[in-house]
Amino acid sequence: MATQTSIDRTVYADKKDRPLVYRQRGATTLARNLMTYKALYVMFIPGLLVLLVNNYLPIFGVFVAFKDVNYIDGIFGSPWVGFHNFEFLFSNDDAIRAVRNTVLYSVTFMSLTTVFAVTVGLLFNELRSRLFAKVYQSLMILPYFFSMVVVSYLVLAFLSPQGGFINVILKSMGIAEIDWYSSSQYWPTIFIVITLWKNVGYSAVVYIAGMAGIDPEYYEAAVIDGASRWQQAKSITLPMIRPLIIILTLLSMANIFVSDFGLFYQVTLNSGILYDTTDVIDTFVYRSLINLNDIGMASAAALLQSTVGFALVLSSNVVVRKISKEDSLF
Amino acid sequence: MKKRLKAPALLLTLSMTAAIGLSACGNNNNNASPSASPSTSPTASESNSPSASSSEPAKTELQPFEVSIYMPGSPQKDQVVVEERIDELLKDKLPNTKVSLNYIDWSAYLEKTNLMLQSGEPLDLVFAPEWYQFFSNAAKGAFLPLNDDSLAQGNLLAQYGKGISETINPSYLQAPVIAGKLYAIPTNKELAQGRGFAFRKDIVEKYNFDISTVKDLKDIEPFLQVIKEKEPNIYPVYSNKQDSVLDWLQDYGYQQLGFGTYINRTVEGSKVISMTSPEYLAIELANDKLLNDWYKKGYLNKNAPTTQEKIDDIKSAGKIWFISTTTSPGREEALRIKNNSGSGPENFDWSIVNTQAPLVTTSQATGSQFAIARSSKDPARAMMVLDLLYTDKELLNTVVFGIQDKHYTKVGDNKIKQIADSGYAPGNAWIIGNQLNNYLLDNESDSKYEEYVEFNKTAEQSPLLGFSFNPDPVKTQVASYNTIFTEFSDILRTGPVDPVDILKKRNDKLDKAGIGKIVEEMQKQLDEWKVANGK
Repeated sequence: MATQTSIDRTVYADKKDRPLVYRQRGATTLARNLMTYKALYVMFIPGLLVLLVNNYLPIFGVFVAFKDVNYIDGIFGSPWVGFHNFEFLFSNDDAIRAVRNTVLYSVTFMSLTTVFAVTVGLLFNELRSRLFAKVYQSLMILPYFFSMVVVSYLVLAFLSPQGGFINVILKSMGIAEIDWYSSSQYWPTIFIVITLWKNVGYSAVVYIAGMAGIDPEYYEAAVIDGASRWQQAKSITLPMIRPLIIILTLLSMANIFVSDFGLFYQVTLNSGILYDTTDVIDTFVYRSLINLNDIGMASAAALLQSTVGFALVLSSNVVVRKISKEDSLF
Repeated sequence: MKKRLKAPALLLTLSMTAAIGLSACGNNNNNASPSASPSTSPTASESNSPSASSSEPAKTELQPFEVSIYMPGSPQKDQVVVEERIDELLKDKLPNTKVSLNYIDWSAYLEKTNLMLQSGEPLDLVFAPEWYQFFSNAAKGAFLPLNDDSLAQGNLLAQYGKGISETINPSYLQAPVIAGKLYAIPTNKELAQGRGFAFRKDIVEKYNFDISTVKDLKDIEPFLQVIKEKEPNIYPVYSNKQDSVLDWLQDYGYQQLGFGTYINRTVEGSKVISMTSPEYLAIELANDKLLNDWYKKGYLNKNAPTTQEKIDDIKSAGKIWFISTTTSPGREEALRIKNNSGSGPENFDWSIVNTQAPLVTTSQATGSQFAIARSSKDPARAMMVLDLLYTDKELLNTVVFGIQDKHYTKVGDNKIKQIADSGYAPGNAWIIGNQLNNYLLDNESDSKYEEYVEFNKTAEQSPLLGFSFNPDPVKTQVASYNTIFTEFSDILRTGPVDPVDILKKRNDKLDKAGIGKIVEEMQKQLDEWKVANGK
């Protein structure tokens, strides 16, 4: 939702062009807004419900993290244990390794996806043929909708130690085959390639939409002044979509402590020998607790993740507000 | 927008659902019949008086109730027909009682039942063997004590489980016990399994292998070169992450106590040790090294670490000639598998070599059992149904094999032949009830159950039978142990990497993460148990 708002802000640079919703603020106009945009509000309801049920309702369960849950006393009656459930998250090197991996991957994915998505957006923006632009876009978005289980089989086809595509090529070039699923050093690169392949197309769409809203007059003026294509991109397009980049980045900060479970669990075939570079908080927590069956400890892990994510969004917003007030989220 | 499967968050959500469920008390599963709540059920009130323990509950007073049975297995096409037949059979013996069979796929069974138990869904009979977190669940109160006079329904086993007490081998009822309370009824079958290897008969005959010389994994090595040279379509050794040849090796005298701890059972008064101790490391290293050596020599299938294949498919395809296995009477027949390779015999038959005599331990005797969930709406009825599964041959065989002439045909007095693709073949003979009452399959020996009884009489009993560990005091260490152990177990079980460095790395980590504390706690609980039980 916030993404949509941010696009609008960029697109309607001139205040009078903005839709009604931005001009009329305050509670008095709320009813009129509801009437005017009732179709939009109706469409918003299912999303809101999902959000409420999936993201807000469970917040009541936060207290479980501080309890030693047993079945006899039930969730409410079980004894309180303070921070005891959090201990395992700090009790061994693996937890620290998982935190390190999670944060490094999140930051890497976030920055590389942004760089590539903006670049791709710029390239699309330069495409003359609408038809080709549509075809390319569709093809690039496609991987976004693949389930990670499907991706894991695609990756296995490439990396399998027995007749894997890459090993066949390496062999034909006379290079020694590599046992990918037991060599952890290659996996950061593999993850980056997969993430970019999967997500760049989708992120680029947002930027393309932002670029489409830039007033053509800027470019016409620039052309008259003799600006090259590169200069136009650098001095007009990029500054105009800057707020969009900042807001999307801010939002993704919330997920810095969260990782794509499918990517790290399915795609690696959960191969233990790779954990040095593939174990992230989600897989670590899953592995520790699946055999222990302790919902108190599982909740503790989830609570820590969300708290850190929340704190990161707040603090990065503060930083952004310091630098450029109008680009901050709130 | 991104889909993330977050186990912790999922659990959190579920815990919320549970919180809501607790107050709402949804009647999700048994809504097929209006179930009597324990407080209003006449059987329950009757059971409160001590005299009730000897008298049969008045059958006419039973309220309509459906007992749900949860067990692992593929959902069966003809389940409904079989349930109808069961209800018919129950009509006279337990009026107003129906049964619902709930098969959950093996891969999902543990997680699903755990979530159901956590969220308080009204389950009745749950397959809860030791290897499905039985003791930790029981300690947390997921199951009802079955021999507890102070329970609202009274002592369930004494009142409604007389048939069980009469038929089951008494050793069984010593095992699923925590602090004197019984939490499950084991399936009556062989008390323990030995360990060994199974070799395909046709291959052994073809090359005249003398498998009687095999006492340990390394003794198989001489045969492997022959297979590699002469049988290009057979993997000399096959392993994957689920089934490794390292799985059922002999215990070398060390009884496993769980969470990486062992005790040397050949030494009187031996202390608990961890898997990181030099004496245990030496054993592990030797076998892991052997497997890695076979991997390097090209004996082991190269895709062992990555494959998702099921071992039965590979066996059926004729690509496996030996496996590591548990052993017990009738095991050879049970291993028979259809030959789908397109040539050779109709079925592959196996010869077993024992490398380890059976030892009745807590975990062995609790390897297949049913518990009654705390959330059960009528535990007394659940116990009555369970009791019948131990005494009523027709009922049990319907649950296990389905309906005569529809799912199986009788080929002898006590012998049947299952009809292929009939729509009911859950393969749960060893899972439920009194297995000695099951019909024999056409390829099984007539004396299978006599052998079981004999086997149970002669099997050696561990002095620690009945001891179980409560991990709660060291759960932080146990969580660490789980992460570290699983991190390295797949790679060690599938052989692609030299185990020396890996084992060193793993053991360093385990030591650092406090496996010593688990050993201490294990020793403490063991000593306490010994005192309490006069051993």
